[in-house]
Amino acid sequence: MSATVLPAATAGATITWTLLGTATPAGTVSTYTFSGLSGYKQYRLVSKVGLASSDDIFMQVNATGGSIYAFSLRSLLTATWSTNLNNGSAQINLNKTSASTQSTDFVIEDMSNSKSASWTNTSGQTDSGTAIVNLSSAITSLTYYTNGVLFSSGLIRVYGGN
Amino acid sequence: MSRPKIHEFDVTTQIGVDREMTDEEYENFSAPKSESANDK
Repeated sequence: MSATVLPAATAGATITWTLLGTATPAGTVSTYTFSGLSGYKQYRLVSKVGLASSDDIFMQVNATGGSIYAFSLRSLLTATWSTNLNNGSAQINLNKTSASTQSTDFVIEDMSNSKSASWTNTSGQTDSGTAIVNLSSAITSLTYYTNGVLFSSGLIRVYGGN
Repeated sequence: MSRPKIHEFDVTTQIGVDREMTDEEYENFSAPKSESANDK
């Protein structure tokens, strides 16, 4: 594995990103899973892919441990943070605009040491709450997938960052 | 149309394999997905 220094996830911070895995879509696969993740504070999924036809792209964050997880994601393309709370694992729509080519650059951080989070729901109403989070959970795998369309070209890379 | 495949890459072993979806995976995969990064 090679160490690569990329733009930091947080302004002013220096994070060294290590390339953990690469996939090169070629037309038969609609789901990519990167497993065996451990030992890093953050993970980063970078992709530029072609799809057989227009579709949405999703990512699922899987982790060890208890019932509720909190994940913080930052898109380095849109410079926005989002917090996702879910039971067991988190499923995230990375790009709601259906298109035949899509690029993503997301940093995923396990916020399990945080005991509260706020969020905005899909109807646009803002509310907040306190989540009881599992303090021992850790990200174990990332799954990157479409709504049914095959990935036809491009590159998907996962990095670990400390 | 044949069932889409899943590519599983283990970052520890650096081995990646393509496999067919199980029936359960295919049912879940085909289900509507509406959650976003801002969903709770």
